[in-house]
Amino acid sequence: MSAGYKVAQLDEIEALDDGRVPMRPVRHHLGITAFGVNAFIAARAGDRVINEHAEDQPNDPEELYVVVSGRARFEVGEDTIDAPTGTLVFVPPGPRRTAFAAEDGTTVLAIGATPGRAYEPSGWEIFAPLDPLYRSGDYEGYIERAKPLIEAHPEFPSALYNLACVESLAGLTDDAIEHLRTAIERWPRARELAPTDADFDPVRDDPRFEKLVAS
Amino acid sequence: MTAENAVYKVGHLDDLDYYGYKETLTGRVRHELGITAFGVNAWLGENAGDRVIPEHAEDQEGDQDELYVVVRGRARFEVNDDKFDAPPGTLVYIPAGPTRRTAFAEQPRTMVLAVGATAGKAYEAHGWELWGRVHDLFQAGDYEGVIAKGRETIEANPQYGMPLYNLACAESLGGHPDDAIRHLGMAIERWEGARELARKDSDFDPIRGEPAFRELVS
Repeated sequence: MSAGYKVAQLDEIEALDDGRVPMRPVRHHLGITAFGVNAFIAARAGDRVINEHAEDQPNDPEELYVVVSGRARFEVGEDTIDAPTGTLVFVPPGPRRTAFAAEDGTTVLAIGATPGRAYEPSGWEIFAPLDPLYRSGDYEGYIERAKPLIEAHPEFPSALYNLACVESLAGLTDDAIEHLRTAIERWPRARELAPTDADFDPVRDDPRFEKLVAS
Repeated sequence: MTAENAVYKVGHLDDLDYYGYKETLTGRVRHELGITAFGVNAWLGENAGDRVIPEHAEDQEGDQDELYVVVRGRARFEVNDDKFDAPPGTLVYIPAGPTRRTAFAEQPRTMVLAVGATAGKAYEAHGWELWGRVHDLFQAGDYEGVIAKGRETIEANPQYGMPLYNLACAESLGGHPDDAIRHLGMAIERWEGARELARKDSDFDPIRGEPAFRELVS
């Protein structure tokens, strides 16, 4: 970055579609490394604009949602919030949250980082388009597409963890153990997540798995 | 914090408590919403021609990578020797470094959101947003003004060391040694770096001979 800065137009960042809410990967596009930021977009009123999720795993981020165009209806915990353009919704880790567009062309910027921890880009934006394969149970398809992506982006070891999950579900126990081992070496959080991750149920009784997640 | 009692907060960019700071108007998104993992503030240019981002570089130790998002109106950014128009939806990302940047409103009510954090470091809120309210008075040497306008808010938010430290500076310079020592003590309790800074900070020259000051910084 010889000029020392980067400029982009939000609408010109190519949207990624993981089969849920389409998203413009702002952080990845600009090369930001100190916090996460993405723009979620809904073309039509009624479309979901923030996927339902909770950020309730260890070291999950706190998130600020900024409605930058259109109008959204947020649902946080049991509450419903009308959110015209300019609304700020800050949700710490824990509560379930989602949002729907109340107008066509609604865009919500999501900014996140984990309190007390240096931000680590996970690269989930790169791998999100593979999620539909995971959710539909096309594990072979996932593995085939994930491997070259992981080779192209070795800086994102959490992708190795996800690959191990899918290999576990696909019955490829040896591959799952090997990739989980590499993931843990390069991304210690993998060891915190694996013990309670149902994706590893098929390999949970394997002594090699037990050894990997112990200590 | 469990899912049941975690607190979320809702605000609106137009409802923030905007105040003047270095020729601009800023609203404290991070502080008002209680965000702890990254910095985020709104900058408002009420009239075309108003400065909307203070001219600065992020070139000190621990300075931040910053993302500016134009959310309303139209801004003209000046980054180093470049000038460019920034309609809504423009993203300007400037990693920490010597890059100088500022921006002006080209339309009334231009709004720019600034997000920042330091790469590779856990975010620490220093509470500059509280100090920002009285920064211009301090620069002008109006220490009584700083105390009148800033003390109550700064004392009400003792989680931040930096504004307490700066308040102590103003009190020292303004001839209030007891207050200065009390607030410097509170600042050091919350922010160990304050002790080191105070040793060399000429703002404390008026109270440097006080035994209580010497004890605090030793």
